[in-house]
Amino acid sequence: MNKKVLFTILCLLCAAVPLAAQTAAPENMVQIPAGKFWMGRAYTIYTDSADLVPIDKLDDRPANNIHLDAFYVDKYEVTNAEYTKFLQATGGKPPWHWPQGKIPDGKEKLPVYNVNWFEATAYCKWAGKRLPTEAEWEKAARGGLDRNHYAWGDADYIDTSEKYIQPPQAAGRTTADPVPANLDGTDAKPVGSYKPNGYGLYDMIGNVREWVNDWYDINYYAFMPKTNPQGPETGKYRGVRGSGWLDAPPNTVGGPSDNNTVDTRDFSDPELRATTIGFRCAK
Amino acid sequence: MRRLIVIFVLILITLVALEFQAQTPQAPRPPQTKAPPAQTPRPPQTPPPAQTPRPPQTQTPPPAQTPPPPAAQTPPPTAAAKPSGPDPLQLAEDWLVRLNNLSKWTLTFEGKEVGREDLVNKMMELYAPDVVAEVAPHDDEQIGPVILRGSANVRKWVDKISRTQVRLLYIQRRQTKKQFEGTKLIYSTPLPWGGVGMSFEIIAAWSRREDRRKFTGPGTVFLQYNADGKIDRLRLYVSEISEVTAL
Repeated sequence: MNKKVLFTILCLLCAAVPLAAQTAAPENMVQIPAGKFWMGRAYTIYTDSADLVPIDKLDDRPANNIHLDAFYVDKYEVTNAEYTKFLQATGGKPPWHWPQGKIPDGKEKLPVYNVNWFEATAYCKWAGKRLPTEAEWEKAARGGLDRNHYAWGDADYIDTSEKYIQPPQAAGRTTADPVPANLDGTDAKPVGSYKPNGYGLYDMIGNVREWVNDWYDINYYAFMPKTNPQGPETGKYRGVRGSGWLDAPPNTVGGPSDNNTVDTRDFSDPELRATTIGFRCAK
Repeated sequence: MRRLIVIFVLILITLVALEFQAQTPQAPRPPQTKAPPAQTPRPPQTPPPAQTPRPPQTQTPPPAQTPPPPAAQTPPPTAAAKPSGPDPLQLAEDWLVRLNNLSKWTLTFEGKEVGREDLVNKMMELYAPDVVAEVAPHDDEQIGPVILRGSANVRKWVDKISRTQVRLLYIQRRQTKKQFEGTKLIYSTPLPWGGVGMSFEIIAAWSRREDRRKFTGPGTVFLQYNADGKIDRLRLYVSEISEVTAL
C-alpha cells in the first residue's frame, strides 16, 4: 500500500515539474500565449475620408493576421533603479538628465528615459532578455482585445447615437472617467500607477514610449511575413511604440489621439535620446 | 424722200424682228431635270465624287442653314474639357491588358519561369518612379487598403499578382441606357499640374494559382497620368468579392 502511494506521488511530481516549468514566467514578466492577432489598424478611420491624414501616416495598414509564438514580456517599463544596476555592472553612461549621474531623489520607480536604442538593447542583453519585436509589442499592448484601438478597449468611444456614430478614433469618449494611462502630464510617473491591460501589463500606453527591436519601414505592412515577423532587414530608424506622458489624452476629435492607440507606429533615430522614450524587455 | 421712207421701214422691220426674238424662248428646258438634256443621265445609286459622305466632324454645313458663330464666342464645353494627349480610353485598355497579361507565363518541366519577368516589366513601364498606389488586399490575411509608395513597392504588388493569380480577367464595365450595346465610359479630366486623371468601372475576376479557386467582384480604377505619360497615382477598389462556385 505504501509503495503504491509513494509511486503515485512520484508520478504526480514528474508530471508537475515540466508543467510548472512551462507556466512559471520569470519574475515580473508575463507570458503572452501563442496564436494569431490582427496587427495594424483593422479599419480605416473617419478622418481618412476627409483626407486629413497624410498618406505617410497611413503606415499601420493594411492590418495583417499575424501568428506569434509564445513569448514573455516585462510587466513594467524598465525603471531608473533597475537601470542603475546595469550601469554599475557595466560602467555605462547614465542618462544626461540625472544630476551628478545619480537618480533624482524619489524617482527610482520612474521609467528610465533619455536612453537610446543601443543602450536599451544593451540593458536587455545584460538582463538575459531582448527588446520585443514590433509585432510582439503590439500583441502585448492589445491585451487580448483584438482589433481594438486602445489598450483599455474601445467601449468608451463608441457612441451609437445617430448623431455621433463614428469610429473610436474620431469619436470623443462617452465617459468622463480618465483613461488608465499617464498622458498629457508633466513627467513620467512610477511604473504601475495605473491599472494593467488584459494581459496584466502596465503602462503599455502612456508614461514613456518604448523602443522595439525592428527597423522602421513605412511600407512594411504591405508585404510583411505572417509568422513571427522580425521587421525589415535594414533601415535608418528603429521602431518606437506606445505613447508618452507628453501626448494628448485620447478624448479629442481626431488628431493627437492617434498617438495613443495600440496600432499607431512611430520611429526614431537609434542614436537619439528623448525624454519620452524608454523601453521594456521581452524573452 | 423715198430714201427716208425706206430707211424708216427698215428700222421698223428691225425693231419688230427684235421684239419677236425677245418674246420667243431661246432653249427649251425641262422644268425639273437637274442635268442638261445633252448630258447622259447617270444612275441615281452612284453619287458623284463630290457628294461622297464625309465624317460629321469634317462636314461643312451649308452656310445658308447654319449661321456662323460670332468670332468671340467660347468654344463648346465638350471641346474645352477634352484633354490633350493620349486617349483616356486607350490608356485604360492598355492598363487592363497589361494587368490581365500578368498570368500569361509558363513553367518549364524543370520549373523555370518563362516570360514572367517580361510581363512584370511591361506593366511597370507604365508607372513613374515616385508613384503612390492604394490597392485592395489580395490576401485573406489582410484588412484595409494596401498602400504602395514608390515603383519598387508597386513592383512587389505586380510581382505578387503574377505569381499567385491565374486567369486574370479585369474588364471595363459597359453602360447602356436603352439596352443597346453598352459603352465603355471613361471619366477623365486634365490635371491642374499636367497630365490627365481618369476613372472607370471594372469587373475583376481572378483565380488563385495554388488551388484555382475563382473570385470576382466589381471595382473602380482611378489613374493619374503625368505629362510624361507615366502613372503618378493609382487607386484600385475591388469590393463585394465573391467566390465563383458551380451551382
